[in-house]
Amino acid sequence: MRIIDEQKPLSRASRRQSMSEIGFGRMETYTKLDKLGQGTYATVFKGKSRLTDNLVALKEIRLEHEEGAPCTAIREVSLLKELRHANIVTLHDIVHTERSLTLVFEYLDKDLKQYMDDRGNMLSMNNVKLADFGLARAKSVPTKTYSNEVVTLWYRPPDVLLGSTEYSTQIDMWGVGCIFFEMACGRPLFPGSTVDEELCLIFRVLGCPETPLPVASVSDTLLSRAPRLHQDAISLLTCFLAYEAKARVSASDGMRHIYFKSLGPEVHLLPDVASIFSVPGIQLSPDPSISKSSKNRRLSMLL
Amino acid sequence: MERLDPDYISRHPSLQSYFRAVLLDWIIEVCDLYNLNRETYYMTVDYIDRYLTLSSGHPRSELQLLGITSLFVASKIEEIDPPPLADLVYIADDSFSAKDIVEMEYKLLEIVGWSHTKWTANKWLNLYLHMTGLQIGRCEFSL
Repeated sequence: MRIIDEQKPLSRASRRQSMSEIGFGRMETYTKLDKLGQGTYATVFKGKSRLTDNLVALKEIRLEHEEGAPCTAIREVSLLKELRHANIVTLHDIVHTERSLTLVFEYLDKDLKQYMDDRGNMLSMNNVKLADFGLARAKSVPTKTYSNEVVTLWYRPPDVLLGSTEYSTQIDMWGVGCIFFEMACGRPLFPGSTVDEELCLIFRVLGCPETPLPVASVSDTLLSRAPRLHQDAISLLTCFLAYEAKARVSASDGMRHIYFKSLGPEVHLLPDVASIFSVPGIQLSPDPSISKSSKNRRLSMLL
Repeated sequence: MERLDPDYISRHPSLQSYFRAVLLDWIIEVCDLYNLNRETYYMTVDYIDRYLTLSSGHPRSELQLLGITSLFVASKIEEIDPPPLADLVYIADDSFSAKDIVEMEYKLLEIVGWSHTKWTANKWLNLYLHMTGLQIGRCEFSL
């Protein structure tokens, strides 16, 4: 008879055992409070951890699905477990039962829209964090093709809208540009409701892909739509909004753009888990160029 | 992520080393039949090896179940259109029910802690080929 060696290889199992004794991985550890929202495959609740008394967000995924655990849940958990960053939502715990899977996240009290609307009253130094990695993929060497039905329509780049399936990280840089504009203006840049309409809205600003408009004229259009953005910001925005995926600025090069120069060189040395507000001198303050009245004026013009 | 234990088979008294080879041969056939990505296959192998590294006493009668379940999970991560559960039940000649596979999936994800490997042999090879500048991405290479 063989003797089962329970020493080294079971360390994960025994670690899980002791984590479980503390209360991790068990639903009794969390008190469900208000319902925050409902998506196609998950319901999100505000909750409280009985271990720490901290607020948490409980993303409850039903498993009555005929195909077992949803692929979005497998991708989201496996990616978030490896990501530790001050600007990425922290996954604290996973509670897995036969009937449901609950992901326990740190609680973020505002979405980006509410955060921006509130910026005039901002006292705390809260970080903006990325959440919802259900449709995310680990990037790899570009050798294979993917689905072209990806990314919220408003933030989907033209190459993918036109059917490209050979994308890589540049797919996200287009969306970064769109959201950069939206944060400055409070309204989306290309709010199309169909693929055709989305392309038309893009062509109106950039020209057709075969005969793109010169950068100077694109800059003028963007400037007229986003008077809050100054020249450096418009220059950065045009770096994101390039038709050809390869011509789009990368995230790391984008951070070195002149627009961010005023933040100083230290922001580039920041560890992943450190908040940008830990750099001396960096803080949020209301933009003096937009007072409450001018904001109202723009709103009424839109109406 | 823990290292794979090259000697994990010794903790599974009802398994023998060559069973793994038989299982992997069968899985590569299934991948071929369903036109699955090569990466899906390597990810499946990693799930099988990690599960067996982190468990003990896996019964011989459930080795194929572990294989098909690992393929099920890997497809969901890697494929645009993963094969439906019913197809996997069929391809395993109805040796297991859909419920068996869903229950095994629960166990597999618990044991491997929901993580999946980011670097398979296939990815390394693609990286090296990419670095040499060869446009070989779409070429098949034999196992």
